[in-house]
Amino acid sequence: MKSFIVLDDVHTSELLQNLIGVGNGWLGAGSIVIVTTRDKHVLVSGGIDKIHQVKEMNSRNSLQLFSLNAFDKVLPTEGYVELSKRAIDYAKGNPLALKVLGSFLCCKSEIEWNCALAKLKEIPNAEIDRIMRWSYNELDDKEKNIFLDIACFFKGLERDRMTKILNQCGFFADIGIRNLLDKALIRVDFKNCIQMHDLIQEMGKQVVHEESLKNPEQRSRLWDPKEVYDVLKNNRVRKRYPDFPS
Amino acid sequence: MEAIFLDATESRHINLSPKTFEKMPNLRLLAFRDHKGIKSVSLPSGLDSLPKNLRYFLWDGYPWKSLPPTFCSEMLVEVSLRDSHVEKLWNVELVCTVHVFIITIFFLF
Repeated sequence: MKSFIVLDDVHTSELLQNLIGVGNGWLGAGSIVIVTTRDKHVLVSGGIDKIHQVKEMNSRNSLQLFSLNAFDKVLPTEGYVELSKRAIDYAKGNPLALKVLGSFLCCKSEIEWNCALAKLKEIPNAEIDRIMRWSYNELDDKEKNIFLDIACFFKGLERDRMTKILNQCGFFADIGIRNLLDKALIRVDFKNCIQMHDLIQEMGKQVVHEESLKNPEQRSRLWDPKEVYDVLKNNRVRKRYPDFPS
Repeated sequence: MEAIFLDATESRHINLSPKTFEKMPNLRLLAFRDHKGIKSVSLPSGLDSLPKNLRYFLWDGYPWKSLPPTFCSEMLVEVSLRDSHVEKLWNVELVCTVHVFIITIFFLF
């Protein structure tokens, strides 16, 4: 019998092997199985041979998806065109972010749009951040460290160089970077440099930020110029008055 | 503190104390990037030490002729000192380890 099966958000390859027996030949000729996952390795070890990586949306489709959620039509309402462009620019072609932001801004005033978009420059949207963390939370400690180093420090560095440095840090980077690639948390560009989507990078930075909300010097990584300045400057001030009782 | 990245083009000018890194023994990655030669990070009194756990060390325009004499380079993988004044990386009594695979130094003079 010909079947058409869709499995959404699959986490383990066991499920594929047991449930549908991909490759075992008991599905009827002409059957189609579509599996979505956040981990490419699930598909590879599950015996699925045709893998399609979802690309970022182009600007036209981004505008449509965003507008459908924000205005219930394919184009922005008059007076909201520029504001919509700012929201779309933030989403950088990520369908999830376009949908979440569109729904969030729906039926809100111009002032509220402006305020919400300005706020996004400082902290990520909570809903997007929460979903982005699903893949991060599945990583082990070594992989989390690799991810955070890339988000806060190494984004754009050549893969082999980065691997050597992170191996020396004790993070088992060859396998760790492979896993981050499979989970689509990073990608390799045409120059063999490691890249990361802006929204995923923002999530990583937020993870580090939450290590200590008020004291940058207590965080594991610093990248914000003002915070680096403050930490190094304060360090200097303390050292200038060594006899001052603490 | 494990990693510090500063894009000097986005920072106010800062004078670092010679002991700046003494309180950061866990620092693995340090980068003061300055492609435009703004030199917003200064070391008026030199630098006493660098963390022994440093794996990656980038300092565009490092202002002194040598790195701290006590600097232990055992863990270091990559050093990049573009537009710096460094004439020698380590004093003779210090051993340059095999880990260091890249050294980028462009002399200004």
